[in-house]
Amino acid sequence: MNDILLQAECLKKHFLLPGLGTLKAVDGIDLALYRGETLGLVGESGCGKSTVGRTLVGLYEPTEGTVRYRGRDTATLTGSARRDFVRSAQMIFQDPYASLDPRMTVGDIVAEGIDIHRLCRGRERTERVLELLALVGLGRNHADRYAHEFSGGQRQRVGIARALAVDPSILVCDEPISALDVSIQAQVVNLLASLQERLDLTYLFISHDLGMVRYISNRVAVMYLGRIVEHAPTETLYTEPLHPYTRALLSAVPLPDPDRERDRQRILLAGDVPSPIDPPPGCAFFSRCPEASAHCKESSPSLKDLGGGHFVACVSR
Amino acid sequence: MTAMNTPLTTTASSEDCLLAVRNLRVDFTTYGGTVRAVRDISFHLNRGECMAIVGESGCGKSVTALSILKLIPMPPGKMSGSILFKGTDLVSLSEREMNRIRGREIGMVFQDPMTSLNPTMPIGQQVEEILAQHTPLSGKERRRQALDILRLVDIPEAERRYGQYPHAFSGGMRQRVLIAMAIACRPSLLIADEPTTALDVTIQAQILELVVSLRKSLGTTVLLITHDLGVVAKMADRIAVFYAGQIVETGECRDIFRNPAHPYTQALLSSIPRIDATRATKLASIAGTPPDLFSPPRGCAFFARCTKAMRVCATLPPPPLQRAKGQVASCWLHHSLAEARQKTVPEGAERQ
Ligand SMILES: Nc1ncnc2c1ncn2[C@@H]1O[C@H](COP(=O)(O)OP(=O)(O)OP(=O)(O)O)[C@@H](O)[C@H]1O
Ligand SMILES: Nc1ncnc2c1ncn2[C@@H]1O[C@H](COP(=O)(O)OP(=O)(O)OP(=O)(O)O)[C@@H](O)[C@H]1O
Ligand code: SF4
Ligand SMILES: [Mg+2]
Ligand SMILES: [Mg+2]
Repeated sequence: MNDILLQAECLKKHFLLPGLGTLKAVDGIDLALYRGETLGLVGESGCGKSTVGRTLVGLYEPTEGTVRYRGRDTATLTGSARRDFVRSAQMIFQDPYASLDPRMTVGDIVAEGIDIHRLCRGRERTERVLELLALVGLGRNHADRYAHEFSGGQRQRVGIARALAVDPSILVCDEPISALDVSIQAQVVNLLASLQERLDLTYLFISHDLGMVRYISNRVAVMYLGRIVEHAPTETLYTEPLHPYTRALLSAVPLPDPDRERDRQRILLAGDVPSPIDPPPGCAFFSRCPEASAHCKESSPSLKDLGGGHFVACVSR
Repeated sequence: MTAMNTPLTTTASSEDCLLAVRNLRVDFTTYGGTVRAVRDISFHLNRGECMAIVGESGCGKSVTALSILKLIPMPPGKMSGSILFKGTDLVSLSEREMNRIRGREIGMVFQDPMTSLNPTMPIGQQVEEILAQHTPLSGKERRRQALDILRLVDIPEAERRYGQYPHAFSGGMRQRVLIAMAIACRPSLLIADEPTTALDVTIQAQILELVVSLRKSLGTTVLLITHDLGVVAKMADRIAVFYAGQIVETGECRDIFRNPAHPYTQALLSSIPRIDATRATKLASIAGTPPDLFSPPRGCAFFARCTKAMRVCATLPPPPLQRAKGQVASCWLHHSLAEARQKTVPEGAERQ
């Protein structure tokens, strides 16, 4: 698993908000996606997870830093190399209700990418669409129906089929299950897992469901206010979290077990997440950190390599 | 069939019982037909306890909560059954009488925090309004109490925040303000509909901790609506599991997590990966989707998705059956005859 497919180096994505300042949605992150793995990306709402995903697949242009696809800077790709990248890195969107055009049939939604990339036509196209629908557990009879007639789980399957239509190698799954009911979530996650095995896919799995992320990911990165604060193989992260934020986050998730819930030590954080508009200097977690000291305000800590693939950005670690 | 007569919930003595909902039905007339949103639900709440209603989207949780306060728009809604609150049937009260109960006797935190605050009014004044409606306090007294309540729900620098508008508050702080408004008159019942769903886990933990401490300090009875089983495990004394407009199982929180009796509850509990457990081979998943409430199925609502379904389940609705002390499940598997039949009758051969 040493083959890096997609990589971000010092990636920044800032948004200029006239009259308000600069919103630093993503503020200098490094990450690598290895072939065939699932990298989980977690963090609170607004910390920049979707922006990372969108910038990685080329939907946003980075403000600073580089995205490398198979080692090449994507900003310099042209012609067929560029098309290959655009086709290979696909995204499944956060909201299965809003991300499908209600005026199009499911068959046409799935075929859109095939048409754009001129992959096939006519009978072959129809067959490909049916094959894709079958792959995500939908039937021939679904192809001519409209997305609004479908349940949330079915829509999410359509979104997955659409992304798979162009034969991608990388899928950014942006909260693929958060709009779904608990009983449907497992269907979609099992589907993603079996597709990964069959098609040798690489996933960036963005979610705030820490239980699901543990279940599906090989490695996990934790974001806070535009930066990665900890990054480790899944088991290490969940059993030996080091960053004070990761610890608080893991301890805040209620367990579906009344006895364990009662005896649990919880790290309660005070206060709110600071605004990403002109954030304060120093560690972004400073204002809520139970372990903060005077140093933390001075400069923002960078990721330290602790060995075994475990990285943490905290001055006291 | 005697089992049919088993009461759905073990009714506690009337002093302990704060709220008893009996045979509640709510229908909505729409262009597409009649939505049977709540289909004959009965449950009760004892004084001081926290009961959680769990179930997936559209199963009737919010409609049940709104019915208790008689906030269902009628038409298109139509409501029947009885709602005994401290012995009085709310269904028979006039709108004026209901207004005295809402906010004062029963406080409610609604599902959507963004729409339930008035964006054009400072938050302190919004809390004062509630006090003005329900108490004879003077203006000065009201302000003092409103401040106290904002402090009680841990709004930092309450004096300075008092005159600010909702947009200046984060999601978590808005939820605190809404809770402040709901408890301003010290109601005996607090209904909280998904109070933390829109919030991050670390903020959610702060809000849940607040509800726990309010229960301790004010003795408030809480009806908590959520789809998060983790939140239920942390907060609830008892649970009612909803499915397609009905209660499929009720019982003590621990019993339901330990020994879920209804196949839906069982499947639900095994389909969530746990943050404290390593990767299992495959997540248990429930195939299919909940039934359409325009034409709910004749038999058990879970029939089409149930792995243990028997013939009888397709045609006859299962009665509530006592499983253990205080645990009741509406499932034919717990009928005294089912066990014997299941073993001896090959699948599909059963007739009722
Ligand atoms: N196109 C944009 N223009 C301006 N600001 C944006 C834009 N996209 C995102 N932002 C801001 O950037 C920050 C990060 O947003 P992002 O959507 O990446 O967060 P997230 O971690 O995905 O959150 P969530 O969990 O709520 O989906 C937020 O403050 C958001 O308001
Ligand atoms: N005013 C209305 N008119 C028509 N149908 C309605 C109305 N209000 C609710 N319903 C329907 O009643 C059913 C129950 O809705 P309810 O809001 O109680 O679900 P819920 O369990 O709270 O779901 P969620 O978890 O999504 O909040 C749904 O099918 C809904 O579409
Ligand atoms: S760097 Fe400092 S403030 Fe940031 S998390 Fe570590 S100890 Fe806390
Ligand atoms: Mg997002
Ligand atoms: Mg609801």
